[in-house]
Amino acid sequence: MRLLVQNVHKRFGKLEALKGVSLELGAGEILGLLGPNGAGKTTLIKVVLGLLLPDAGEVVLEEGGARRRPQGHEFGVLLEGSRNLYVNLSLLVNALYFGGIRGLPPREVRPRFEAWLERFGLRDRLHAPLASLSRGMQQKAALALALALKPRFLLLDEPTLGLDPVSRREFEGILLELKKEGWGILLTSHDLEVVERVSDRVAFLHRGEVRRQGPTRALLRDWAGEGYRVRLAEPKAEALLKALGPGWSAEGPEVLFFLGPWEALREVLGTLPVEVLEVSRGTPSLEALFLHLFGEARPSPSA
Amino acid sequence: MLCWQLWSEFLLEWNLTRRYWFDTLAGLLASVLFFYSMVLGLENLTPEGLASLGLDLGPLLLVFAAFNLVVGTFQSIAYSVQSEAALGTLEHLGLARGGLLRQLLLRALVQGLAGITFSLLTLLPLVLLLGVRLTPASWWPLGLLPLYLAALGFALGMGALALHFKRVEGFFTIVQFLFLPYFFSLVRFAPWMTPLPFAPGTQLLKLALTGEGAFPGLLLLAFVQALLFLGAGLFAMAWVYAAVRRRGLLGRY
Repeated sequence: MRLLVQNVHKRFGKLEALKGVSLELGAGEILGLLGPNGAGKTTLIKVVLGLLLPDAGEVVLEEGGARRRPQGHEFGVLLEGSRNLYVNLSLLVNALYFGGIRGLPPREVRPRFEAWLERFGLRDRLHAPLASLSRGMQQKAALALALALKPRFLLLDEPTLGLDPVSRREFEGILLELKKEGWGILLTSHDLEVVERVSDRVAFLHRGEVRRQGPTRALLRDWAGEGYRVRLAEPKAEALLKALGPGWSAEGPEVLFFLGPWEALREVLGTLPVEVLEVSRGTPSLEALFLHLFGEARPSPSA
Repeated sequence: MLCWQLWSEFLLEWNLTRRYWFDTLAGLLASVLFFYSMVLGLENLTPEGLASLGLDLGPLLLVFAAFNLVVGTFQSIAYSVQSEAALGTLEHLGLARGGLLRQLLLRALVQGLAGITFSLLTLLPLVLLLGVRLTPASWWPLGLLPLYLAALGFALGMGALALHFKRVEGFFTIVQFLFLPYFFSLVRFAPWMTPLPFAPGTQLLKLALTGEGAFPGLLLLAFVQALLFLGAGLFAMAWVYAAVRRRGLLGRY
């Protein structure tokens, strides 16, 4: 089973939000959809869901040789922000309601929802109003519901937004488990560390166009020949970053990563006001690649 | 599957009413007080009472119930579209089986029934307070049906406006103020009023709840008008839904 986005175009007035975007997502795979603000990620998700009509192109579900337009109710969705459930109603009522509108009877939804809540450590909050839960718990509850609706694919738009590091780690673990179980997941996030750890493939979207896509590791490896990790004697990576030009990123308080040729690096090394302990070649982080691709990018007016 | 979609709307309505019971109760009381104080005011203005104005309390009360049903239904549908858009859950309704249009129609059905219940609950204390005698005919549910369907159609039309403009309170207040004198003008029903909006349905309701016989011609006209309203409402909603999906305005202002 595969979800295909084929040559999708979408224009809002003068703004061309999507310019011939083509993507593919299979079962048991996580596709990271990355890009700066206004790149068109959410627009693309809404087109896939059928909440937005494209001007051209199509979204196709391929299954057993048959191709058809997927229906909205076949997706499990986490939309950006806390707008996935009724905050003043209990988790159970939310589950039964959203299951019901997708044509699922309570006898099917409730046990599945309870099982997912159990797995996420929220079983005892079944009758609690959503508003009484922390943001991380709300996100988990929304994901539990999305999964309980037995979708064919999961579309997660910024699922880790606003989560604390512990909840973020938990979420990451959940995504990896879901992948192992065969769920196909489209994930958009500015949390590049998470995307790098969980995604099989990434697609970089910029101003409505796919700039680069492919297997995450392979994409990063392609850049490895030009990448250098610089270990500093003092934790001044962030402070130095401000003075350094494009191609530099911080991978921790004492580690800088430079994506560029050795000659350019050598010139900079001599001018650094901090002692350099080690320079080594390495695979850049997804963040470094992101900055390399979009370092100069500014958000489009809207999308 | 459709039955579960309908059931889910009952579930939501019930849980929201239960959660905000105080507001529901206050709304009911406000409606009773509004009519009661209006009658008291009219009686104080005319020492000989309402009869001197040629007004009978029974039809006046039933027209008020019709007004409550129509206004209550369109407001609840439109406000639910508006609040879902503000909450951000409207897009999830768009993921319902069959799409947003089907789900909103089912919601309108349920909220229309809630509107009928609300109108009846308003009617009861007023009947007791004012000593009005209502003698429902055996066919009274049939007399209520065209008005209910017309109210649904109108509610979908107003819901379409809410879907497009999102904030519509000001406009709806105007509609409400226009409807109040309009509906009260239907108390003195004359044959020439028959084709007017909601007029045959309201007259039929009056006849049904005062124990009079149904006129087949009026019944037919009321149903035809109700179906026209329903068709127009569905068309408006479908048209606006397609437009907001094209323009990317579903679920955002």
